[in-house]
Amino acid sequence: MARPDTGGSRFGGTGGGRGPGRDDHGDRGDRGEGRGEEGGGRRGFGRRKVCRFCADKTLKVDYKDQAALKYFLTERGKIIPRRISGNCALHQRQVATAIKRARILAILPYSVVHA
Amino acid sequence: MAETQKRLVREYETIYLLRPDTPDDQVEEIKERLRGVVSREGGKVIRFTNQGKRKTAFTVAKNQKALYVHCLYLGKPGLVHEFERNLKMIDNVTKFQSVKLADGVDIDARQVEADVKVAPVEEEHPREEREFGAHGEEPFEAPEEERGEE
Repeated sequence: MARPDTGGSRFGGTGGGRGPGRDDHGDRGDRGEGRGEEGGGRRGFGRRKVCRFCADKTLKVDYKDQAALKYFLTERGKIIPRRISGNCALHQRQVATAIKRARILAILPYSVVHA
Repeated sequence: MAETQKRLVREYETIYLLRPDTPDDQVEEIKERLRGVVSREGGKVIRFTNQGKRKTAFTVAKNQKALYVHCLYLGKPGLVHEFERNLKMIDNVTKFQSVKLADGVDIDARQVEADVKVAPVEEEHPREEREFGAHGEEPFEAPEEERGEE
Protein backbone atom coordinates (compact mmCIF):
# COMPACT_ATOMS: atom_id res chain seq x y z
CA MET A 1 0.00 0.00 0.00
CA ALA A 2 2.80 2.34 0.62
CA ARG A 3 4.10 2.32 -2.93
CA PRO A 4 1.45 4.37 -4.82
CA ASP A 5 1.67 6.99 -2.16
CA THR A 6 5.37 7.39 -2.68
CA GLY A 7 4.91 7.70 -6.44
CA GLY A 8 2.26 10.33 -6.09
CA SER A 9 4.31 12.66 -4.02
CA ARG A 10 7.39 12.19 -6.12
CA PHE A 11 5.87 13.15 -9.45
CA GLY A 12 4.24 16.53 -9.52
CA GLY A 13 2.28 18.50 -7.01
CA THR A 14 -0.93 16.49 -7.12
CA GLY A 15 0.29 14.49 -4.19
CA GLY A 16 0.32 17.69 -2.20
CA GLY A 17 -3.47 18.00 -2.47
CA ARG A 18 -3.97 14.53 -1.17
CA GLY A 19 -1.54 15.02 1.59
CA PRO A 20 -3.71 16.54 4.33
CA GLY A 21 -6.33 13.85 4.01
CA ARG A 22 -3.73 11.21 4.73
CA ASP A 23 -2.24 12.31 7.93
CA ASP A 24 -1.43 8.80 8.94
CA HIS A 25 1.27 8.75 6.29
CA GLY A 26 2.41 12.22 7.08
CA ASP A 27 5.57 11.09 8.80
CA ARG A 28 7.08 10.24 5.46
CA GLY A 29 6.89 13.84 4.37
CA ASP A 30 8.33 15.10 7.62
CA ARG A 31 11.25 12.82 7.30
CA GLY A 32 12.05 14.16 3.86
CA GLU A 33 12.14 17.72 5.06
CA GLY A 34 14.09 16.78 8.09
CA ARG A 35 17.00 15.98 5.84
CA GLY A 36 17.94 19.61 5.88
CA GLU A 37 17.67 20.27 2.17
CA GLU A 38 15.48 23.36 2.10
CA GLY A 39 12.37 21.31 1.38
CA GLY A 40 10.25 24.37 0.92
CA GLY A 41 8.41 24.21 -2.41
CA ARG A 42 7.76 20.57 -3.06
CA ARG A 43 5.78 18.86 -0.46
CA GLY A 44 7.04 15.62 0.95
CA PHE A 45 10.31 15.52 -0.83
CA GLY A 46 13.23 17.83 -0.69
CA ARG A 47 14.94 19.40 -3.62
CA ARG A 48 15.66 16.98 -6.45
CA LYS A 49 19.24 16.02 -5.82
CA VAL A 50 21.77 16.28 -8.60
CA CYS A 51 24.48 13.75 -9.23
CA ARG A 52 27.54 15.40 -7.78
CA PHE A 53 29.82 13.70 -10.28
CA CYS A 54 27.76 15.04 -13.19
CA ALA A 55 27.62 18.50 -11.68
CA ASP A 56 31.38 18.63 -11.29
CA LYS A 57 33.02 16.93 -14.25
CA THR A 58 36.46 17.09 -12.71
CA LEU A 59 35.37 14.90 -9.85
CA LYS A 60 36.38 11.28 -10.38
CA VAL A 61 35.28 8.20 -8.53
CA ASP A 62 38.40 6.75 -6.97
CA TYR A 63 38.44 3.68 -4.78
CA LYS A 64 41.50 4.95 -2.94
CA ASP A 65 39.79 8.11 -1.77
CA GLN A 66 38.37 7.12 1.56
CA ALA A 67 37.02 10.54 2.50
CA ALA A 68 35.00 10.94 -0.70
CA LEU A 69 33.50 7.45 -0.60
CA LYS A 70 32.52 7.70 3.04
CA TYR A 71 29.85 10.12 1.93
CA PHE A 72 28.10 7.27 0.15
CA LEU A 73 28.05 4.93 3.12
CA THR A 74 25.64 4.79 6.00
CA GLU A 75 26.89 4.71 9.55
CA ARG A 76 26.59 0.98 9.43
CA GLY A 77 28.74 0.81 6.34
CA LYS A 78 26.03 0.08 3.80
CA ILE A 79 26.04 1.67 0.37
CA ILE A 80 23.49 4.48 0.20
CA PRO A 81 20.87 3.93 -2.51
CA ARG A 82 20.67 6.14 -5.52
CA ARG A 83 17.29 7.58 -4.63
CA ILE A 84 18.85 9.10 -1.55
CA SER A 85 22.37 9.96 -2.61
CA GLY A 86 21.05 11.47 -5.85
CA ASN A 87 23.69 9.88 -8.05
CA CYS A 88 22.90 9.11 -11.66
CA ALA A 89 22.88 5.45 -12.67
CA LEU A 90 26.31 5.58 -14.24
CA HIS A 91 28.00 7.16 -11.27
CA GLN A 92 26.14 5.09 -8.73
CA ARG A 93 27.53 2.02 -10.45
CA GLN A 94 31.01 3.48 -10.34
CA VAL A 95 30.64 4.44 -6.70
CA ALA A 96 29.38 0.97 -5.80
CA THR A 97 32.32 -0.68 -7.55
CA ALA A 98 34.74 1.72 -5.91
CA ILE A 99 33.33 1.01 -2.46
CA LYS A 100 33.59 -2.71 -3.02
CA ARG A 101 37.19 -2.34 -4.12
CA ALA A 102 37.98 -0.16 -1.14
CA ARG A 103 36.50 -2.79 1.14
CA ILE A 104 38.85 -5.43 -0.18
CA LEU A 105 41.79 -3.23 0.79
CA ALA A 106 40.32 -2.48 4.22
CA ILE A 107 39.98 1.19 3.32
CA LEU A 108 36.25 1.05 3.99
CA PRO A 109 34.39 -1.31 6.31
CA TYR A 110 32.15 -4.15 5.19
CA SER A 111 29.93 -3.49 8.15
CA VAL A 112 30.04 -1.48 11.33
CA VAL A 113 28.49 -3.15 14.32
CA HIS A 114 27.58 -1.11 17.36
CA ALA A 115 27.39 -2.41 20.86
CA MET B 1 51.51 -0.77 -40.73
CA ALA B 2 54.04 1.16 -38.79
CA GLU B 3 57.50 -0.21 -39.48
CA THR B 4 58.70 0.57 -35.98
CA GLN B 5 56.14 -1.49 -34.21
CA LYS B 6 54.69 0.04 -31.12
CA ARG B 7 54.46 -2.26 -28.18
CA LEU B 8 51.03 -1.78 -26.78
CA VAL B 9 50.57 -3.03 -23.27
CA ARG B 10 48.16 -2.46 -20.43
CA GLU B 11 48.51 -0.28 -17.43
CA TYR B 12 47.82 -1.83 -14.05
CA GLU B 13 48.02 -0.79 -10.48
CA THR B 14 48.36 -3.02 -7.48
CA ILE B 15 47.99 -2.00 -3.88
CA TYR B 16 49.34 -4.37 -1.30
CA LEU B 17 49.17 -4.26 2.45
CA LEU B 18 52.11 -5.19 4.63
CA ARG B 19 52.16 -5.94 8.32
CA PRO B 20 52.71 -2.71 10.22
CA ASP B 21 55.83 -4.06 11.92
CA THR B 22 57.65 -4.70 8.64
CA PRO B 23 61.09 -3.06 8.82
CA ASP B 24 61.96 -0.49 6.19
CA ASP B 25 64.70 -2.54 4.57
CA GLN B 26 62.29 -5.40 4.08
CA VAL B 27 59.80 -3.06 2.45
CA GLU B 28 62.54 -2.08 0.03
CA GLU B 29 63.47 -5.70 -0.51
CA ILE B 30 59.89 -6.59 -1.46
CA LYS B 31 59.82 -3.62 -3.80
CA GLU B 32 62.96 -4.76 -5.59
CA ARG B 33 61.68 -8.29 -5.84
CA LEU B 34 58.48 -7.09 -7.50
CA ARG B 35 60.43 -4.80 -9.77
CA GLY B 36 62.39 -7.84 -10.87
CA VAL B 37 59.19 -9.77 -11.55
CA VAL B 38 57.80 -7.00 -13.73
CA SER B 39 60.97 -6.57 -15.78
CA ARG B 40 61.36 -10.33 -16.19
CA GLU B 41 57.87 -10.50 -17.70
CA GLY B 42 58.66 -7.71 -20.12
CA GLY B 43 56.81 -5.01 -18.24
CA LYS B 44 57.85 -1.70 -16.80
CA VAL B 45 57.34 -0.31 -13.31
CA ILE B 46 56.30 3.33 -13.44
CA ARG B 47 56.54 3.98 -9.73
CA PHE B 48 56.04 2.65 -6.27
CA THR B 49 54.22 4.79 -3.74
CA ASN B 50 54.64 4.05 -0.09
CA GLN B 51 51.49 5.36 1.54
CA GLY B 52 52.69 4.69 5.04
CA LYS B 53 50.97 3.08 7.97
CA ARG B 54 47.26 3.65 7.89
CA LYS B 55 44.45 2.57 10.09
CA THR B 56 42.41 -0.15 8.44
CA ALA B 57 38.64 -0.32 8.51
CA PHE B 58 38.79 -3.69 10.21
CA THR B 59 41.51 -5.87 11.64
CA VAL B 60 43.80 -7.33 9.04
CA ALA B 61 45.98 -10.20 10.26
CA LYS B 62 45.11 -9.22 13.84
CA ASN B 63 46.36 -5.69 13.33
CA GLN B 64 44.45 -2.43 13.29
CA LYS B 65 47.04 -0.84 11.05
CA ALA B 66 48.71 -1.78 7.82
CA LEU B 67 51.41 -0.43 5.57
CA TYR B 68 49.96 0.47 2.19
CA VAL B 69 52.15 0.28 -0.90
CA HIS B 70 50.87 1.22 -4.33
CA CYS B 71 52.58 0.04 -7.49
CA LEU B 72 51.89 1.36 -10.97
CA TYR B 73 53.21 -0.68 -13.86
CA LEU B 74 52.79 -1.62 -17.49
CA GLY B 75 52.70 -5.11 -18.86
CA LYS B 76 50.84 -7.93 -20.49
CA PRO B 77 47.93 -9.68 -18.79
CA GLY B 78 50.04 -12.62 -17.67
CA LEU B 79 52.19 -10.29 -15.67
CA VAL B 80 49.47 -9.60 -13.15
CA HIS B 81 49.12 -13.27 -12.42
CA GLU B 82 52.85 -13.60 -11.87
CA PHE B 83 52.91 -10.43 -9.78
CA GLU B 84 50.13 -11.65 -7.54
CA ARG B 85 51.65 -15.10 -7.28
CA ASN B 86 54.77 -13.48 -5.90
CA LEU B 87 52.79 -11.37 -3.48
CA LYS B 88 51.14 -14.49 -2.14
CA MET B 89 54.54 -15.98 -1.41
CA ILE B 90 55.67 -13.04 0.72
CA ASP B 91 54.61 -13.62 4.27
CA ASN B 92 54.42 -9.97 5.25
CA VAL B 93 51.88 -9.19 2.55
CA THR B 94 48.44 -9.49 4.08
CA LYS B 95 46.21 -8.19 1.31
CA PHE B 96 46.54 -7.06 -2.26
CA GLN B 97 44.41 -5.99 -5.18
CA SER B 98 45.21 -5.30 -8.82
CA VAL B 99 43.16 -3.07 -11.09
CA LYS B 100 43.54 -2.44 -14.80
CA LEU B 101 43.74 1.26 -15.52
CA ALA B 102 44.17 1.49 -19.26
CA ASP B 103 44.43 -0.53 -22.45
CA GLY B 104 46.75 -0.01 -25.38
CA VAL B 105 49.47 2.01 -23.69
CA ASP B 106 52.71 2.46 -25.61
CA ILE B 107 55.35 1.06 -23.30
CA ASP B 108 58.15 3.25 -24.66
CA ALA B 109 56.18 6.45 -24.34
CA ARG B 110 55.81 6.18 -20.58
CA GLN B 111 58.64 7.42 -18.45
CA VAL B 112 59.72 5.70 -15.29
CA GLU B 113 59.13 7.90 -12.28
CA ALA B 114 60.88 8.05 -8.97
CA ASP B 115 59.44 6.19 -6.02
CA VAL B 116 57.27 8.30 -3.78
CA LYS B 117 56.67 8.18 -0.09
CA VAL B 118 53.58 10.03 1.07
CA ALA B 119 52.56 10.83 4.58
CA PRO B 120 49.85 8.54 5.86
CA VAL B 121 46.39 10.06 5.90
CA GLU B 122 45.34 10.89 9.41
CA GLU B 123 41.93 10.05 10.71
CA GLU B 124 39.99 13.30 10.96
CA HIS B 125 38.68 12.49 14.39
CA PRO B 126 38.88 9.29 16.31
CA ARG B 127 35.49 7.83 17.03
CA GLU B 128 35.39 8.38 20.72
CA GLU B 129 32.78 11.09 21.03
CA ARG B 130 30.22 8.46 20.13
CA GLU B 131 28.45 7.08 23.12
CA PHE B 132 25.94 4.41 22.56
CA GLY B 133 22.53 5.82 21.96
CA ALA B 134 23.99 9.29 21.52
CA HIS B 135 21.70 10.11 18.63
CA GLY B 136 19.05 8.17 16.82
CA GLU B 137 18.81 7.16 13.23
CA GLU B 138 20.88 8.86 10.63
CA PRO B 139 18.62 10.29 7.94
CA PHE B 140 20.09 7.90 5.40
CA GLU B 141 18.92 4.97 7.43
CA ALA B 142 15.31 6.06 7.23
CA PRO B 143 14.24 3.93 4.24
CA GLU B 144 14.68 0.80 6.29
CA GLU B 145 11.57 1.68 8.22
CA GLU B 146 9.75 2.17 4.95
CA ARG B 147 10.46 -1.37 3.99
CA GLY B 148 9.14 -2.59 7.27
CA GLU B 149 5.67 -1.19 6.85
CA GLU B 150 4.98 -2.94 3.58
